[in-house]
Amino acid sequence: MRFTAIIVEDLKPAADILQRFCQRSGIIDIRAHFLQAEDALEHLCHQPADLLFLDVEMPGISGFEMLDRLDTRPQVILTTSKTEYAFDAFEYRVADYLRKPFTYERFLQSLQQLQPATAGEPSPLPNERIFIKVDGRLQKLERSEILYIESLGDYVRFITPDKKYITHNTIKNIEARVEGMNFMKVHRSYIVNLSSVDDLREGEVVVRGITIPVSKSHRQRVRQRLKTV
Amino acid sequence: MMIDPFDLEAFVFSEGFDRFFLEELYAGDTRMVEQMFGISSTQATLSMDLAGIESRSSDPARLRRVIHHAKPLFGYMGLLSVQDSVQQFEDLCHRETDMSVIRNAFDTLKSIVEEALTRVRHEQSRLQKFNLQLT
Repeated sequence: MRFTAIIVEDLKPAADILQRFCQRSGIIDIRAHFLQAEDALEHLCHQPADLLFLDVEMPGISGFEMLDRLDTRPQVILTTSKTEYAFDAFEYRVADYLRKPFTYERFLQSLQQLQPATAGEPSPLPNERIFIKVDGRLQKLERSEILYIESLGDYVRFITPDKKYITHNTIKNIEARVEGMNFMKVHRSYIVNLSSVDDLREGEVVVRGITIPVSKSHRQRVRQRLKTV
Repeated sequence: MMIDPFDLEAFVFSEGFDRFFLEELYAGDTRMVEQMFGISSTQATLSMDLAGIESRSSDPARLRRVIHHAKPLFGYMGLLSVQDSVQQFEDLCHRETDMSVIRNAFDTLKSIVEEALTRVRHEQSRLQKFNLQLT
């Protein structure tokens, strides 16, 4: 099993050591190293890779912002010197999270988390459920039970038939996370589960008796998507 | 005398350097250690200079970012206790809003780092001499 990989890391010693570890492993073929996430994004558009070693805090956009912008996401191993990103790493379903500086042994443990992959194909994601942080714990939500998601500024509310869950996040992040999972943003503050829509009206959809606005810019696409559901 | 480049037993790190961690990190390649000590100490010096400028501003978040960026460099030099000190300062920048408290703590950190970098330069010089014998 071999992997093509790119490194996104602005700290030279960290990148040097990582390249060395990759060579030593004999299974990672480093194709490129970038100091900034924007350059890596551009590269991945043209030359997909199986694996992305990604720093989080960098000049320009952060590692997480980069992941949000990727249409097709390779498997990701985060490399950071901060422990506080562990929850985000979990949410982004990265293969592993390495705290710099890490040893070769720890690096090898990371590689064991990888799934066999082909360049350009997204890593398998557990689409059936998502986890959100609620009151300091992780709450599992089956995606089929989510009716819609509502923005509350820096917070997001998940509405299910039985309960509502509020988590600290943005609608933009959530949109990237649930895209292609039968969810669609219909308004700057709302993402709906298209399977839950009972009625489509002019400028709104109805989900279990609740009216949700549909902005003009989204109306045509909502109509198209609902026809195909 | 020929010395096996992958036998770090032949080079004994001075007190204060985490020898076992350095062995794990560089697998006994003392040339690599020398090179990384050089790169890391240069970058750490630049980062501390920049942090000094930021410490005179009123934005702890900017100072924290600079310090955060420099933090792992001390790990690459086998100075894990210094890295912990940097982490503690980073935490302080995160929770403290009084810049005078932050500046005092920065002065203490600066002394720790300067002393550590002096030791690194000395160690780099020892490594250089050692590596010259290898071929």
